[in-house]
Amino acid sequence: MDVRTALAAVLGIGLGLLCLLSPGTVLTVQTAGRLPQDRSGEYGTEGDGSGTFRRLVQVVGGVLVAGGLYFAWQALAV
Amino acid sequence: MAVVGSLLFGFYAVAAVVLLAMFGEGVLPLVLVGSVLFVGVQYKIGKWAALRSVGAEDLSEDRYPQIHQQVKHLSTDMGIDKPRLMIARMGVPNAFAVGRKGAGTVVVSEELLRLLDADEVEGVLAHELAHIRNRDVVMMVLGQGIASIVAIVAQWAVLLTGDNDLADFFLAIVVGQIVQMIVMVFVLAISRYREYVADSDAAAEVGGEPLASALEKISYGSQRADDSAIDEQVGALCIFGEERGLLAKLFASHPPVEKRIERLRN
Repeated sequence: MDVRTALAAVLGIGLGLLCLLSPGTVLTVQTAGRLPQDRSGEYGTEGDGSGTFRRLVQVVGGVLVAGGLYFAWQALAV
Repeated sequence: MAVVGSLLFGFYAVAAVVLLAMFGEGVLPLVLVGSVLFVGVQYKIGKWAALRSVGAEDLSEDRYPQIHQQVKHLSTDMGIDKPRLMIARMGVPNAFAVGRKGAGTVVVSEELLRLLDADEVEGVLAHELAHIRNRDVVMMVLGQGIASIVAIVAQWAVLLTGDNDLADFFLAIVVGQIVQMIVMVFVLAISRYREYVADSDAAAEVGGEPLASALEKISYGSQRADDSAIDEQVGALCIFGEERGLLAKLFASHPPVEKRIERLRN
């Protein structure tokens, strides 16, 4: 089994699940410091990102999980 | 916070050393200039995008003379230039600061001005001015810059040590994102700390009660529907009273409102 392919599978699925289950976390990581985190949402809170961006992150998550599963299949097939 | 700051510098230093190992010592000036440019561009674009995204307009001095006076007095007391004041319809009561000391901008929402009384608005303004004085926006841009640079270096390290097959490209992207997340945990820890510092600085100027009262009023009024343009985004923001998971706590840029109110009143 190729270690790098296995690593791509495990990390890809892990990151993909994070994007699917907690898109707000991924958005925070990507936007903090680039845009004021208190720009959206009520005063005293951080914004959670718009519905569109959250869905976009979830789509990316789906792609990552699919990619991870493909590399898992490849790693196990070799 | 010094420890966290040192850790961030450590991340950057490791990334720089990895780059030097990959491309030789001659690349050092390029790394330093590239880092400064990268952070500078992020700062400029971020400020422009933040103001544009909420449709902020200049706050008319004729229409809001009291707010201009409050900010003028607070700025003088805090030893900074009076920042540009802007107003926007955000759908929720909100205010934020962008820019740096000497070139700051404070944006308040129409909803915030409608909801809060003069003292509470002053507490909010003092908090935002404290962010400008403490260079918190610049600090966050630096933090994100370091996280991004370390992530890019991690991606290249994966690419240059592999066979450049499809799995390597995929792994590089994933590793870059994960590395960025790890560094951002520390950046966001600093962000939460800076919020407390800004609260404390605001309390030193106008007392803790106005800001505590503003936070309380906004948080308890969050369930009330606003007749202005509330979009979907707002629906996802009612975190008050909800249990915050470990992930949410770890990646929060702001401390819990309840804790801030408690500290302001103590």
